Amino acid sequence: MKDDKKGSSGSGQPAQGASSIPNRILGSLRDALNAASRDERSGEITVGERADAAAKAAAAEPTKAEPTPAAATARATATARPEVPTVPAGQQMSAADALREAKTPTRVHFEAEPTTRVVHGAPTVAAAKPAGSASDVGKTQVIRGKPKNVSAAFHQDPVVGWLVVVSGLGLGAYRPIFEGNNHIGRGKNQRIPIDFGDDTISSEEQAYIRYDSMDRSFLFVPNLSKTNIVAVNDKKPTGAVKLEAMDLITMGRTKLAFVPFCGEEFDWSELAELKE
Amino acid sequence: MEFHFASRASQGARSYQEDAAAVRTLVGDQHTAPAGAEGRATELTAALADGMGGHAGGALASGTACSTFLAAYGSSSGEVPPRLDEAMHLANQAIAAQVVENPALNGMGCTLIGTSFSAPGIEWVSVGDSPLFLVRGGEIVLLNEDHSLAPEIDKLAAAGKISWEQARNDPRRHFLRSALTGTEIDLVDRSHRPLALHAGDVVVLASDGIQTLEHSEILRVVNAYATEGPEAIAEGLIRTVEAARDPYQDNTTVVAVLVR
Repeated sequence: MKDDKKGSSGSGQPAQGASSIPNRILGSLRDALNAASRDERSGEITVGERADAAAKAAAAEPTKAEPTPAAATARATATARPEVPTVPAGQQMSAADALREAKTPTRVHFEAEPTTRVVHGAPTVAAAKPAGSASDVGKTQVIRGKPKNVSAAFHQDPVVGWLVVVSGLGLGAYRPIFEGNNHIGRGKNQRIPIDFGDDTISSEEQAYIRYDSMDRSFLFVPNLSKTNIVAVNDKKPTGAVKLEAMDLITMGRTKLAFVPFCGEEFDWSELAELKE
Repeated sequence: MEFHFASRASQGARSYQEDAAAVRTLVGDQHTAPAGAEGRATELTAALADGMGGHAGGALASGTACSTFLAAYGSSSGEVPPRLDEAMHLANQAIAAQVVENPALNGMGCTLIGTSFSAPGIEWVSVGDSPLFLVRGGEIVLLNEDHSLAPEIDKLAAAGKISWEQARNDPRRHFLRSALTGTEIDLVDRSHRPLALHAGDVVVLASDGIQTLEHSEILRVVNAYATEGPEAIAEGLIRTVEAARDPYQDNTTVVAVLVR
């Protein structure tokens, strides 16, 4: 199972062992490849290629019971294939070598570094390159509003937190909070529209939430020129108050819980740093 | 060559199961995995998906993807890689269709490992972070590419930009760079030719709940139970994950395929 938290606060739980493993695996692969005196572009398990190459590559007819030429080659020494690791004849290929071969396109020619491709071709979204430099991170693709650090092009205004309706009309709904100043009101034009039908909320700018990526903190600021009073945790502030996770904001007959995404643990600017 | 398979699942610490797995043999029997399917065949297709998108959506997405994938692969013919690709795209479209029918499901999706086992060996297509392992003798290798942010974060650690400790605890490890969500698929990992299998090889399809275990532990468990068959391997893996008692243990599903 993986829920949406994955994209947000899936934190908390440390990544179990998973982590260091690629390294471990790569280590063993590297050894295996060195032993087979492979080229230096190794270090990465995956050498992807396009489907068309794959189609050509798999000359094998899967329904036959007899091993096909492709399979036979794969099993045997593979000396005939220059791009394939050399294994002493008669010796069973190690798992790592077998993998490398399975992922080696039959075509030797690449128009670029061999890399896993995106299916529906946007040229900007290539996968991680084998080289392993930090700039690869810039190519990371994330699905649907999750952090997408492609050369600083956000899919949308990056979310920094949420307000979740925990009481009143719209119960269970949520609204994203964005970087900078967010005005909150009932109107749909508000940056944080609480438009679930509670008309005791001012239509415009009853309050503001401000997220400052420099000091990574959230401030809640009531708009004192509005007649309706707002509360944070049952206190009725007359000035800016710092918001903490799960603080309860009352506006009209609606209660909103504050859920931060950015903060000390994470800020989008870190991804920008990742890039260089 | 004959492929013996078995699957087992555990809900972990979660209140629901969003993984799905299924195996289809040449004759067309379809075994849905969480029930604990087992069997043997000279050719088979196995699929495993790890769902996301909340209570209803995640399980629906993974179940839809697996069944659509197997049905689509089973009803096509020709070379394996394009069949795998097509089946994957049909699975993705089936998810899109569900979302169109019920917009509340918007945002659901899943990972997918689709594998074909036949005489030439194993071929696969994979999207997401569900691992596909090959255990041969004393060696374990991850066959598919991990489409979570974890490899990127590890690269940063390897480059000395952050510590390994930071890398290990980075919450973004679980962010997915690619998944089947009914829209464009960002990254796809696939084999380019059959990876020849030998008697004694064990292939494990798993959801990322198994990452609670170090690879060395997975290797140890597989080797310990290999002689008893795939049921023992699958059960051993699930038991070992449960024994780790991770308070946040994710759903874990494994399909073990033993080559005989």
